[in-house]
Amino acid sequence: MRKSVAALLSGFVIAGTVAIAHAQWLNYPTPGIPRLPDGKPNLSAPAPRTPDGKIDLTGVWQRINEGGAVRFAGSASSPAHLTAWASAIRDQRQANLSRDIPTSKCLPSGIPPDMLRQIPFKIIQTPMVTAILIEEFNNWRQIFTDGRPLPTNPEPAWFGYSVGRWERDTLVVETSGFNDKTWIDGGGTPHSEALRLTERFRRLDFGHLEIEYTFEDPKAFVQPFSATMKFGLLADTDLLDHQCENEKDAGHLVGK
Amino acid sequence: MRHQSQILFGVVLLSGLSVLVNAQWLNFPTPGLPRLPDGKPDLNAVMPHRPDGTVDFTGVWFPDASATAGTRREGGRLGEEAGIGLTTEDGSPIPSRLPDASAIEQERRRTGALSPSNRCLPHTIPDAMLAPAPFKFVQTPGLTVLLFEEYNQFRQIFTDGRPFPPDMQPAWFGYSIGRWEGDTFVIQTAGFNDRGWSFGGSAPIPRSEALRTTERFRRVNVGTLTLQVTVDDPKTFAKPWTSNVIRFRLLPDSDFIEHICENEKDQGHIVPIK
Repeated sequence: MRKSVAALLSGFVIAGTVAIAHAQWLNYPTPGIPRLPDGKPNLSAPAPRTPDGKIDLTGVWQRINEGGAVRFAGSASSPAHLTAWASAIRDQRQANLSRDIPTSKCLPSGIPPDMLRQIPFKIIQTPMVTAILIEEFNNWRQIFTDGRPLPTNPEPAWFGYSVGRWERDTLVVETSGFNDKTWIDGGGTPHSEALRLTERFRRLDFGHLEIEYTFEDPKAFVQPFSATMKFGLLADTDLLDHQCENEKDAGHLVGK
Repeated sequence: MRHQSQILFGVVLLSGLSVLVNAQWLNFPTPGLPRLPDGKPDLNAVMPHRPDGTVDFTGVWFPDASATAGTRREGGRLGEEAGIGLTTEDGSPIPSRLPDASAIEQERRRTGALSPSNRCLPHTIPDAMLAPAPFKFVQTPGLTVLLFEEYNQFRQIFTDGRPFPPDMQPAWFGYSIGRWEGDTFVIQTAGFNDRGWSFGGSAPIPRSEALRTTERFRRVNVGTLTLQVTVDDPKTFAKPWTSNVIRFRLLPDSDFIEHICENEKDQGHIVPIK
């Protein structure tokens, strides 16, 4: 059974927005999971495949927390080198104690932070579209795998527009058409509407997923950069109902 | 291409909540749709079954107020599309409420209280399917998901044979399990919280945590989906009742327009109607 603990990306926990619930289907055996003789999920079994032979990414996943919250910028070893424009925004957000992080107003973390928190998400893979259900705020995103191209003149969107294709056993997802309101990490690293994100999903075995993120945004980053994150399958459990009610919290936030 | 008008499913129209945008994938051909010789979707074709023998409900659906008998159109003069209000199966109004529930409803009317959706909280069941906004069926063998354009919300319907959890933490969309009765997809839902607002329409009818709903979805043909809901809430209604048949039309070759609710833009502009 997974712990029903959710921590906010920003580093401070906003009590009212995080609905913590016990019970539900948190102990129901997920159908189709290979099991050890004692009945426990065999998380090192081979990754499952769909009838058409592709790796099946379906499952409830959560980032494996190695080294704390994700920061793409801010130290000498960080992968991202920010432009002066992005650096100034990041400094301002930090000076403001992250008060204006979108989640404080019940707005989405966006991509990728929605999948980098210690909060689960669920991948549902079908031949033409893969849906990702995000526990936080009960949001979803879609990845079209029906061969359509990215829209040429998209209206900027919180989750952008995502198309995917398979390169052998890797699902390669390209996303563009983002608005510039999301933070790509909890440190306030910004991006512009020019951001183009490539995510490479690799299910290494039954219980382990790896996503390599590549960010391209000449306005925010001096050069494209990549980072790889690890995720673990949450077996025999499911998402909790999580709705954000910001009027409870907005008045309690501090900052400049 | 579908009409990009959205009006809110209530008596109050909040201009800032409805984000209207152009472009996107509103004209991309939906894969797998049967087509006529001229390439248009054949909306009258019989929907083929999936490999597992079930009818395929996959698609983007929009409540069809004009084709739904007994529907009450709301706010039609403000927008092209209207939400659907439920009646009972024989076309009469939703049954009267028990005294305690009626008192809550009257108090909501008296104070001009606003529905949860005015604060970016979800329409639940059945309202989420009745609001004038599209939703999408994503169907897999053990799980069907409904994605809602409005507020970017989803609900899950498990079809893997699991029963309801023994102890359900009350939830906005409750807990849904589905099964097939022939070509009818039957969804039972329990474990609701008591904060949902209505049963389709503007009447602020309360609900209790004892509510159970049974939804019966049928895909009549490629272009048409129907839904009939049975509402069983012993704290609100003297006995269960079943709704009229709600009709939905397929939005072929189209998809969602992202709709994230940003209530801080609107809170200051909302004026309760007394």
